[in-house]
Amino acid sequence: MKNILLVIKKELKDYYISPIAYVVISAFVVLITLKFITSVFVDNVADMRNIFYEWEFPDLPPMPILLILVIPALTMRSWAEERREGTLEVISTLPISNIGLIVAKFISCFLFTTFMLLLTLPIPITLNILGNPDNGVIIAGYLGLILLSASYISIGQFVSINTRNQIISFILSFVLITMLYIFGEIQFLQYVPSSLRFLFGSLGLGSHLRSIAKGVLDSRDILYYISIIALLFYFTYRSFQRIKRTGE
Amino acid sequence: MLKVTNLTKNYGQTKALDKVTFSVEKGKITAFLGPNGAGKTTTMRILTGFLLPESGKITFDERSLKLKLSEIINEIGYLPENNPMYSNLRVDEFLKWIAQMKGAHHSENLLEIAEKCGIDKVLDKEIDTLSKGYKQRVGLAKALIGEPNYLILDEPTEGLDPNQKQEILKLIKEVSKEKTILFSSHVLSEVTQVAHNVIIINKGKVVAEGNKEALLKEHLKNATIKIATDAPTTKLRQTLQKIKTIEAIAKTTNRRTGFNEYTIGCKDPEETALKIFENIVRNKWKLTELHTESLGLEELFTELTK
Repeated sequence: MKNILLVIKKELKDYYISPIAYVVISAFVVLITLKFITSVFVDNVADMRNIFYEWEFPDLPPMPILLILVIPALTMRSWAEERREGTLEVISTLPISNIGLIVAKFISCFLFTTFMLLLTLPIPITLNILGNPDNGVIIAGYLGLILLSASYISIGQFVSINTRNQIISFILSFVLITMLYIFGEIQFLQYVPSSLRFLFGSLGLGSHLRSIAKGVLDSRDILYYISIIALLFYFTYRSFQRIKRTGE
Repeated sequence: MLKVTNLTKNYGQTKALDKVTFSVEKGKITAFLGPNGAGKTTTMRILTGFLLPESGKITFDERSLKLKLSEIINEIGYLPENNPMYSNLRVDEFLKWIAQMKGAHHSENLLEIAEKCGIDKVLDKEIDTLSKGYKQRVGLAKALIGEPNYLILDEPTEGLDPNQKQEILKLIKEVSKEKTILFSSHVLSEVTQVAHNVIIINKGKVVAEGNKEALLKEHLKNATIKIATDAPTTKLRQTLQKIKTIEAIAKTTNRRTGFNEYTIGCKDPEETALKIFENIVRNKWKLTELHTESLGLEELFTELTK
């Protein structure tokens, strides 16, 4: 446990000294704030819905869409860098289990992402100053975003451990998350045979967030995200074992 | 003692290790030799838990690596091939982090190790900015943290200048008394200098293992004897050819002194030298030089890995 914390601390430090992380964080916060301001002053709507999930092209995308770009940028170096630099051999020959290492890398990225999400808190605070929003819905929305981010991170970690190249890691994570996201979108589902529509709809990363962000805390939605995270953890662990078996 | 029994590892269709068996004694330095791609790094990676073998048994003082990995890994000091490190960290940060991970974060101890490895003056520098020699020393310091019982060093003197090499070899020798040390090297003169025991691996198989001197004696039965004598060449040749262990005689005349020099290829050099001496004395020839040039580790390495 102590060593998991030590790895988390080191990983977090790596994030905080990385210029990419700062660029990503700044871009994310600026774009979301801009989206909120636009909706307040242009559309006269002071609402969290268009921050959490509502999106009409060509408006600025909401947080879940932005995170599809942001999280692969954060996870891309996580394992790929260790593999490219050879430091995976250093860290995995220290007294920490493979699972412990996977957990530590996940948690550090998760904490960093949560910190980034918390930087958007001035928006709901402003809403509270301006009016009387339903804070339960806002909290549920953030909870949904946190679960969604954790799912993105677990996908990003899985892709990152399977490559030595950060760019490939970024692109593949982006593609994989996008695919899983659009599965649940109505624009995609209309082309899916009706017999498969429920299945694809249930697999969509975004559709579960919409449900939570409306303030409906359904255990199926939470279970869905936990299942995605657990499954990707397992795949990451299997990939780690493959590296240990093949040396590749 | 570190014991490896029938260790096998495949990379796809390629057999990297084929039933590798050897042991490394405590308090003795064991050199792990072999040409590139022989399986040295693979073996070391398996010993440190980084790679999983197909089959085989590894025990550290009777404890199975498979069953007690987390316990044993804390007792291993490992310097991997090419010495990978977190180059964005400062030397002291990196060493402190390793010490914390190993549960050995006494700063005095770290400073002592840094001094031993000659990196005490670069502790506040970023690893990325260090020369290859310094980086190698940081890697060695990392391996020494936590007073490990077992030191596994993959080419520890790589990238060092001759003086640094000597210092590092001296350091390895110093710490060897209470540790089990396995180190690989390409530089055979280093091995000759510090190693007590030698393991030679070729194409994934151990081709020789044991005490360095005993191995040389066992595998290199051929040697060269040089003599300088005033004996007439024809008569000397006739006399020496009667000695069964002699295989070849080559003559080099030293005209200035009038003595002829001969290089004699033979088996069993000690016995042959004695017989040559007896024959020369019996014939009342003068002898100004007689010495045996026994072959070294380099020849043994070439012989076993060709």
